[in-house]
Amino acid sequence: MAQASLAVDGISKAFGETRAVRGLSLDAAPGEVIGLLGPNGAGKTTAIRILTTIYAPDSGSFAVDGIPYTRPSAIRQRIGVLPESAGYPLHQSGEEFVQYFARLFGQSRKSARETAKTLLAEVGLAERAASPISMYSRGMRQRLGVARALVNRPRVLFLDEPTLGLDPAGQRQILALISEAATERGATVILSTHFLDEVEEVCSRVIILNRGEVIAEGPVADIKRRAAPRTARVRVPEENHESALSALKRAPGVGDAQAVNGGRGLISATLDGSDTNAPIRALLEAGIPILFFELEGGKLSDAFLALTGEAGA
Amino acid sequence: MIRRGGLVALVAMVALFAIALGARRHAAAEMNGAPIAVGELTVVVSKSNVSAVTGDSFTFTSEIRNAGSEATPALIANLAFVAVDGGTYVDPEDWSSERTQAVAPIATGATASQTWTVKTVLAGDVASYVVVLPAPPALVANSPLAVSPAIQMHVEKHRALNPGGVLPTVLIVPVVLVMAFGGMRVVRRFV
Amino acid sequence: MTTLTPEDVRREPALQLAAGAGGGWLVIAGQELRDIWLSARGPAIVIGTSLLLSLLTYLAASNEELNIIDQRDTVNLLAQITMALAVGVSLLFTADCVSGERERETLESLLVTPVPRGQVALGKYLAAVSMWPVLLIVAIPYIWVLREGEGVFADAMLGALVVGTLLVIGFVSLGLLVSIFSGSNRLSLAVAFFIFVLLLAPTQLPLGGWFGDLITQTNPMTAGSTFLHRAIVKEHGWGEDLDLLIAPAVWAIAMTGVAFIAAGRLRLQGSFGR
Repeated sequence: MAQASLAVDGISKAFGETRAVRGLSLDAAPGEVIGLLGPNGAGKTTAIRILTTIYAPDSGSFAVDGIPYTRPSAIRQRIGVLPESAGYPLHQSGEEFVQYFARLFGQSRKSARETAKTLLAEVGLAERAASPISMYSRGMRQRLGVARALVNRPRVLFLDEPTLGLDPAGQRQILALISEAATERGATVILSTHFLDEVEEVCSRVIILNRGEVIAEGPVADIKRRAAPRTARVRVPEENHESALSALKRAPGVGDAQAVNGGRGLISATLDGSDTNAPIRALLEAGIPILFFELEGGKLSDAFLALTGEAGA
Repeated sequence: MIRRGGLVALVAMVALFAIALGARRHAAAEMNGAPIAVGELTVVVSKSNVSAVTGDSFTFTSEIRNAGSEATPALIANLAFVAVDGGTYVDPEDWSSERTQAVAPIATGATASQTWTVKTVLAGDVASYVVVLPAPPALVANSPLAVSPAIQMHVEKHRALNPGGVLPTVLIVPVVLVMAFGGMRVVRRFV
Repeated sequence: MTTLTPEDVRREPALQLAAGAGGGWLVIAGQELRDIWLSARGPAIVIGTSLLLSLLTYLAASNEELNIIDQRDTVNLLAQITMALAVGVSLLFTADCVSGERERETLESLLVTPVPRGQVALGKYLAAVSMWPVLLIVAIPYIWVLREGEGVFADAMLGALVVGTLLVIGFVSLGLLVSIFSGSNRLSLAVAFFIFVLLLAPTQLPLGGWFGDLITQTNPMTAGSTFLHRAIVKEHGWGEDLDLLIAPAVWAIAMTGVAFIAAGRLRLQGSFGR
């Protein structure tokens, strides 16, 4: 494997009795977008704050671009961060704001000006660059935050809930920026979010945290397959209930079939493989009319809910 | 001290519109009145009436003459103030910073002169006079005193728009600052 | 999992430069200075101070009650007021500088830059201190027009410069220290201002006896105020009252040291009052 831009080895962090992160490990390659999922309080923000050197880990270690965590200042040179609740100096213009941060990363006045101009154009704020941030919408501020996070051409970009509170158009803009950062700049992106469709859209891998622990990790497709096997719900006439159950249980590609809530006519069939037509075929071959058919599961949200035990919530 | 200053500032604010300054005074040039003899000393002062305005200062002299047949002991001359209009509060320390002077023994027939400075602090009618008494150890409980005639001071409140010439400064400084900071903002907006 | 070797660490590319290495405080100070002086805050304080000094100067020159006071007393009053205002305002600036960023949620973005924590604090510290020389310069024309007699202007300016600088440095450091540990801006401002008032109050009280002397000598505000009073009003030579400068000097050095040691431990969250 090529040099990982982010290598995390069993980091843990506790606040008093609360263990916020327990033994988180991961490797991330350049250009990879990794989704960090988990319910509220799962430890996503704490994990990001450890990796961005805000908190020191209680145990474990990590390295960014080969720089060990014991050299936080050098790590900060290589990371870009959009914190969960990023505030902005409302009296400054977007241009001044980005310039300021570029200068904090050691750029000259001239270079910082050019960086600000380029980045603001990239995030679609060129025309509003001179306006005070107080005049920006939430979506514009988030894009400004992304621009600021990119001032140092980071090797790893940490984005904590970047689309929270944005309308669909704003979400799409941010997601496009994230993809660009990964594909065009070769940055590793760690994306913490509640929005599972975002993860499905832009992330190559996902890590699901619950109560500080990693409960699932891997490519999105794997997680979906592992955690949420697809099921089919079918409704047949009540008089065909027993024969339908028998036909489905015998059918190839169907693992099991059960009446839903003990009701007559409504059956849930678990699929063994990827053949989603298997239940339909089995019922038609048995001459049983189908009143209703629906596929369930197979989405990341189902996997997420199943893994985090929030299905019933 | 801030303490004293704070008190003063408070008093000053209460008297915000009481403006005073200037100098108008008319004082008699000749020695004042018939000498009052106590024992064998006589004291005369160089002014009898003074018209002044608040904040003004004037000086006068007193002469102590020994008409006796023996030299006096060492003496103390003291400048006293008393309000004669019944309404003016007089704190002698405010009216003269040096109110007591030591006088060397005066030979028979000789005189000794003292110069006094008075600052007219408040508006009103105030009398001032010089008291002479023996300095210790000659001072005893029933030592005779010699007193000069009183100087009648009529002090009026003075009003001035430019006291002490500070008006330009107190107006110009804030204006200049407002213009400077305002200018900076304007320049920044257009640059 | 990639295993890091010392070789990997040595492979580290050259850092972009600077900010982290040494110039970050300058960038932060520049930005903070712009925030103070190009916004309404700094100018409003300076103009307000000049209006106050104008009023006092006019009253001092015009009111017959004030004519009781020696001109040196009036000059001393102006110098002390300017000094107290500068100390109070600078203190409030630094009391806000970290806890305010926490509250406005801008601190985390600053902490993930390569600028060391101590430099973040230094930049903000210097910007807050800038209020003092500006206010002292504003006081110059007032003290000049009120001066009377030999050397009063020089005594006042030099005395205020020395005493004020020591006090401002000490109190700005106090504000920084409180702000670093305070989880809420309101708490930070309240604690810093309370300490300021606590130390300022004895300058307004009649202090006598051994206890009064002790307070005068050990409280930096009373010691500084007494020194200035003696230099301006009593016309004492500087050598006569050097002992009165010990408390302000110790205060300035100690508070600065403690504040910058604490600044190295600057955290995203405050230690108290969250």
